Amino acid sequence: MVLPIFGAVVDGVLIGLAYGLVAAGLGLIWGVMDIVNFAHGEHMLIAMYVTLLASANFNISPIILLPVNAALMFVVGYGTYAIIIKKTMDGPVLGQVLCTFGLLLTIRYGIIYFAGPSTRTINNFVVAGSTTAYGISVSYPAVLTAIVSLLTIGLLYFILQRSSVGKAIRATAQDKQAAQVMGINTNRIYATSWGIGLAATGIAGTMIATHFPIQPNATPGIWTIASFAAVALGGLGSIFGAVIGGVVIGLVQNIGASLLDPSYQQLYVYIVLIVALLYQREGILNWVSDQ
Amino acid sequence: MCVTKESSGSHVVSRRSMLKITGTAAAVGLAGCSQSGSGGGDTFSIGALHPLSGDAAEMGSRFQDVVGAGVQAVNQGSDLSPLAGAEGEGIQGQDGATVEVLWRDHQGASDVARSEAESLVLDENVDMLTGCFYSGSTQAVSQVAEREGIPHVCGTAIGEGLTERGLDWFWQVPPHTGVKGESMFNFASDMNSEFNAGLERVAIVHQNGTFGTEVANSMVGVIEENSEFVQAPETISYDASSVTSLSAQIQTIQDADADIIVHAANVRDALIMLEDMKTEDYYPEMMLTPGSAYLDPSVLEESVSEHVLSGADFSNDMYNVHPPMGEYNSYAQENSGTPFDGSNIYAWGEFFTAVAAANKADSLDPADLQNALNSLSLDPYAAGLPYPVDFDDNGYNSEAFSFVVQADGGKLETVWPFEQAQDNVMTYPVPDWSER
Repeated sequence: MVLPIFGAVVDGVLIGLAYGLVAAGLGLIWGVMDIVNFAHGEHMLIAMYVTLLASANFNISPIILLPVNAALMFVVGYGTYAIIIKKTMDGPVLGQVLCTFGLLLTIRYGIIYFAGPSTRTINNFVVAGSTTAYGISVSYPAVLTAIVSLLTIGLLYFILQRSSVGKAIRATAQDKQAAQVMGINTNRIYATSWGIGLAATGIAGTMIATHFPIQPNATPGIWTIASFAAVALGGLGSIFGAVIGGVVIGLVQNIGASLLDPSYQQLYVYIVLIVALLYQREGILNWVSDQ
Repeated sequence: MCVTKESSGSHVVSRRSMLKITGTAAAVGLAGCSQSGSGGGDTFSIGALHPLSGDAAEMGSRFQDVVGAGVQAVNQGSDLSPLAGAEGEGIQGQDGATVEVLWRDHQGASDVARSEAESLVLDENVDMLTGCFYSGSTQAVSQVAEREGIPHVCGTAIGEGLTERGLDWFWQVPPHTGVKGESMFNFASDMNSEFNAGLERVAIVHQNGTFGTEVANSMVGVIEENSEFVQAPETISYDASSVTSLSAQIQTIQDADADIIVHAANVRDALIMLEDMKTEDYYPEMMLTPGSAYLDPSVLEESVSEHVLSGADFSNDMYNVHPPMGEYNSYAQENSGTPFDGSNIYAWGEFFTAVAAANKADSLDPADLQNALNSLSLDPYAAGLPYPVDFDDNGYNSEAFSFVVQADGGKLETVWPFEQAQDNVMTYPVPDWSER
C-alpha cells in the first residue's frame, strides 16, 4: 500500500505544478485588477495549437516554442487589455464578465474554424516516454512540465518582487489611485499584467500540450476550472498561493483516488476546497502566514 | 422591428406593420406548404439530428459526408445492388420520390435535440426523424416523435434501454450495448477455449455520462450471466469533462489483477487512458472497448491505440468477407471524399433503413411508414449494413450483430468471429509497451 501512495503523491505534485502554472496567470490578473478571465483556458488553447501545428507541420520542438509562445501570449494579453478590457473597466462587473465570456467563445470557435474540432496530440516531442523507479512510474514530459513550471514561477516571482515593473504592478494592485499619484501609468500596468499573466499561461499551454490530448471544446474548461479552484484555495492575488493551491488539488485528486474510490476523484477536490474556504476564506497562503 | 411606441410605453403593432407581417406570414406559409415533405408527395424528407458541433463535430461531419453520398445514390440511381432504394432514380416504391435530409445540430445536448426535433416536425414537416448518436439526445427526440406520431429511426445510438420504453414510433438498427457485450465476451470465451488465454477477471471503467453508465450496466449484466468471467474490481467511473489522469484507476485495476479491461470512453479520455497505461508500463491481457471512441480515426492514428480490441460493425478488411460493403465504401469515398469508418457506417445504415421503409410503405403518411418499419425484413446489405434488419415488437433490430476488431497500423481488422477474420491477422498476446 505504501508504493501506490507514493506514486499518487508524485503524480499529484506533477499535475499540481501544471495546474499551478496555469492558475498563476489567472491569479495575477484576478489579483491586480479584480477581473476574472473566463477565457483563461481558451488563451492557453492558443499556445497549445501554436505548439501543435508548429510541431506537426514544421517539426519544431515545443522547447523552442516556449519563448515564442510566451512572447506571443504577452502580446495577446497586452492587446486584449488595451483593445477590449480597458473599455469595460469603468462599467459594471457584469460587462467585464460578459466581455471575457465573449472572448472565450471567439477564441474557441476561431480555433475550431481554422484547426477543426477533433482531438489532437503531439507525437514527435523528443522528450517522450516514461521511467519507473521504486515502483513509481512517471512520464518525462510530465516531469519536464513540472520543472518548467517551477522555473516560470521563479521568474514571475523575480519580476514581481525585484523589477520596477513588478513593483508598479504590486503598487497598482494595492491602491490604484495612490499608484497614479506616484506617477504610475496604471493602464499600462494593467495591460502589462495581462501580458505577463497570459505569457505564463502560454508557457503552461506549450508544456501541457506535450502530454495531454487537445480538444478545443473540452480542454479549456478542464484547466480553467482547476485554475479557479487553485486560486481560490491558494489565496487571491498570490502567485505562490495559486501554485500551492494547484499542488494541493493535484495531491487530493490522486491520493483520494488511490486510497478511496477513484470514481469520486473530483468530489474529493471540491470537498477539500469547500472545507478550506469555510475555515480560511483568504486561502492557504494567508493561513500559513497568519500562523 | 415594425412597432410603434405609444405614450403609455406599451408596444403595439401599427396597421401598416400588421399588413406587412400578415402578408409575409402568408407567403412563408404558402412556401412552407409547397416544400412540405409529406404534403408534396414527391419528396421523402428526413430530419437528421446529430452532433455537428462540440466534441463530436468531426464525426458528425463524416456522417453528413457518407449520408450525402447515400442521398445521391438514391436520387440519381446507382448500381449498388442490393442497397435499398439505390436502383433507379428516386425511391421506386414511392413513384420515384426524391429523398432529402435536413440536418440539425443538437450539440450533444438533450434539450437542444428536443427543440430541434420539434422544429423539424412542426415547421419543416419532415416525414421521419433519424439520429441522434448520444443516447440522451436520442431519448429526447424519440419522445417528440412519439408525441407527434412521426417515425424515429435510430442507427447511431447503442443504448440498451432505448427500445424498452414502450414507444410505438421508435426503431433501433445497430446492436445495443448488451449485444455488443455478448459479442465481446463470446470472443473472450472463444479465446479461452481456442487459445487457452486464461481470461477471467474483468475490470469495467467508464465515463459517468449516460453512454458510459449504460455500457457499464450492460457489461455487468453480461458478466453476471456468464460463469466464465468475474468482475474485479468494482465498476470504476470518472468524469470525462474534467479528467486529466486515469493513473489511479489503472492502479486499482492492476491491484485487482484484472485480465480484461472494458473501457467505455469518449475520444479524449480514451487517449488519456492509453497514454497513462503506457506511462505505467501496464497493459491488460485484453483491452476490450464498446462504443465508437476507440474506432475514431483520431484515436486510431495514435500509436498507443495499436492492438486495442473493440466491438464494431466495421473493419477495413470486412470487404473481403462482405463484398457489397466494399462497393458501398468505394461509392461513398468517390462521391463524398470520406470512406467508411467505425462511426459513419452507422449513419449510412440509419439512412438506408429509413429509405428502405419509405420504399416499402404504401405512402409517406406516418402510419404507413410505421407499418412498413414494423414489418421490415431486409437481407444483409439492403440497409447498407453487413447484417439483416428485422425489428422485434419493441422496435429493436433483432438481427443486429457486432464483430470484434483490432487496431493495426491505424486500420481496423476483423478478428472475431474467427471464420470472418483474415489469416493470422490477430496480434495476441499483445506485446509489452517496450516491444512495440
